[in-house]
Amino acid sequence: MSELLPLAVDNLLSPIILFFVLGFAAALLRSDLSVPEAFAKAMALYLMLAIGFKGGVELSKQGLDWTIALILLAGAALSFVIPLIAYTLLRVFTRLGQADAAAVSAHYGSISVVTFVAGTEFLTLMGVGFEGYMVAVMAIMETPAIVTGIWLARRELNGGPGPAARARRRALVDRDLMREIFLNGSVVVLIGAFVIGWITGPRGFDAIAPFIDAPFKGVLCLFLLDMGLVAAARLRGAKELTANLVLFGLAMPVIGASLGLAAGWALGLGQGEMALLGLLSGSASYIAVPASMRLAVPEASPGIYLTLSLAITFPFNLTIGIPLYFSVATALSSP
Amino acid sequence: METYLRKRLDIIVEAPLLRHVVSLLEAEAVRGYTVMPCLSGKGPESSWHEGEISDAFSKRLIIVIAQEDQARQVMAAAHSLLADYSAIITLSDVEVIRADHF
Repeated sequence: MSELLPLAVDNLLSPIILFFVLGFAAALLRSDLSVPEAFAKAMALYLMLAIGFKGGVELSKQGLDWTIALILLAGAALSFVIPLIAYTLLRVFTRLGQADAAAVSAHYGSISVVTFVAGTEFLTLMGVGFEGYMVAVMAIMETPAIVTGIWLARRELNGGPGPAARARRRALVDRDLMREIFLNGSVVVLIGAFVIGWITGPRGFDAIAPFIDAPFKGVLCLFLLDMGLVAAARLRGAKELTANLVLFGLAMPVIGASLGLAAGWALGLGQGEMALLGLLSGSASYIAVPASMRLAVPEASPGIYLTLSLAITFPFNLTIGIPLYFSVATALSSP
Repeated sequence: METYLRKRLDIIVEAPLLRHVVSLLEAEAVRGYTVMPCLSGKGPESSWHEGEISDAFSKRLIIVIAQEDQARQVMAAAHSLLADYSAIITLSDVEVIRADHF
């Protein structure tokens, strides 16, 4: 744990973090710098394809194991449970209503792919490997939190939407929402690329390595530049954030990560896998979950849930969370 | 040049709801519609713009031109569908040249 500071400095001075800071600063200074939206979406697709494929290739080298099923189960359980904790904290310590608290909690139970990718880059920087199945764990953790969040939002509480509104929304949502939750683009690309990587193995990797391996870090830098721009713009336009909400955005990732690290320790995971499970549990979604919440819980304000996850928790995890969770995982996994 | 009176229905919705609105138009058997992206805007509570990481807050404009009876029927159905969501539905008079198309 005494090495936390140098770890944090190493992390802060890596190109991907510095590009994020550049984007953040440029937006705060009102520069006209921008990344075209379609290009940013293509980069997100590329990153998910590459990380999914590499994970599948790694798994094909290691082979399947029953413990993997257990870890996947643990990931899903964490994603189901973390929103309950987040919701309770929000209701007790902030003045958020049922819908807003439920929507925010769904974001914190789900995961951020880019935070995971930044975490894997940090592990590479530290010379620590991780098993390919962690990509599958990431994919499986994306959706259970959405189910918990919707359940929290729809429980019959005083002040909720009336029965007619509930019935109308249920008719709209139930028909298609499950498909949108379980077949959203990021899940399809991640799992699809993972399976293709698993089927084709190292030979498949060699065939497309010039596309998915060599440009990966450069693309990640450019994507994080854009994330910095978007996060700062969100923060600048934030009117609904109170001090308690900001505090929640900083504390909740640590609470979630603690649960993930504890689960990883109980399962006997290695240093890299434990750190990544902590990071996944501590990260908050800002791509898949907002779309589902907009549909299922329209009365919740995106000015709260998206700003918290994108402008508070994401920068925290990127700069402090990653080295923090890594150092805890190192301490827990040392004999 | 001879023109014919029709109604134009404009529906502005958040992108995740577009598919549901399009399904509604198909169910109402409208003869045609156009979907357009929206760049930015401001409502009573907040402003928004294209370019967020998530598509969830992008807006789409759906334009339908139809006979008055059908346009009002679609408007009522769209209102029922979108009552809980942030959306704008307007109905206005337009003149068209090709009456058989609308």
